[in-house]
Amino acid sequence: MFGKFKLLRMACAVALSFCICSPVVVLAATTESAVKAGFIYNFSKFIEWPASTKLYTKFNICIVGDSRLEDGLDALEGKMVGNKPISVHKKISKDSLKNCQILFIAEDGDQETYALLHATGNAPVVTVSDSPEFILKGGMIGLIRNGSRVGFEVNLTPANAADIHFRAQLLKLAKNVRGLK
Amino acid sequence: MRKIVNLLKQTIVEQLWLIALLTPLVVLAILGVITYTKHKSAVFNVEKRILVSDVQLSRSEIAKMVTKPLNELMSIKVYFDDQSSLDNALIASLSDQEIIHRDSAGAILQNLPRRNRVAMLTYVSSRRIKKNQTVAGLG
Repeated sequence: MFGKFKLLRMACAVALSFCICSPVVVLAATTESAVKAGFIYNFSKFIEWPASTKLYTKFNICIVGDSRLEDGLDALEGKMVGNKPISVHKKISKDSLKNCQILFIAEDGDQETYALLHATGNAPVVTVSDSPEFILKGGMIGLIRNGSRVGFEVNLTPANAADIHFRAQLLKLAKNVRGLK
Repeated sequence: MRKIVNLLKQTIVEQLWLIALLTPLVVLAILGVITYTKHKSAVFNVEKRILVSDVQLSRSEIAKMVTKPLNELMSIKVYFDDQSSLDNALIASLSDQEIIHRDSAGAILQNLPRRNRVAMLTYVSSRRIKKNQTVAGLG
């Protein structure tokens, strides 16, 4: 008899924990993606691209990998960077990566990350990722976890090679800056 | 009238075995329903307040958040997937009311293992007392 109650109580506990946990995860992903998308939008205000990119009619933000960030980035669609409207591109080919002004790499695998960085070469593409040690792999901006907050670190070496200039205000807020002369 | 009362008495006496058998079952069923209803209401309260889509960030909320300045974004607390504890994870852009609902849900969850811990402690201490009594008895 008491086993039956215990089972009922356990079933309730499992159902309760499921009810509590599942929405939190959904919410968490949404909040995190919104914050990351906010970072990407803000980076565009503090970065200067070389003159060659002025020919583009749109400001292209590309995303490779993480589909969770799409919700956040979709909110950027149509916003202006300078005098250009933002256009968000998902599932793009490696050949088209050089047309992106900002490329968000959400691949976990090192090999894929290296391959994408190699594909952009010295093209004026700001590479951003939340994968661990991204700037050590040759990326420009790595989103990092700062306690329960999001921070970022910058690698100026690939940025200088691509003739991309990061403003001092951005570097001040970075947790770590590499390649500073 | 007396006849009816006698008939009723006789019936009760004859069916006593059935009453004796059914009474605990009925009591248990009532208790079960009460317990189930209590848990059920707790679950549904939580579900109503947390599972509904209005707790998630809406498109307009996301749009507001992405346009925040960088220093503000850096101060927003975010829940990360690898933080398993609900209480430690502070979720950005929740209203106070929603946080209270989340906390009360957390409290319900916290109470369950605590109750189990108390039961376990009671069991262990009673075992110890019994063991000591046995040792004392032997001595």
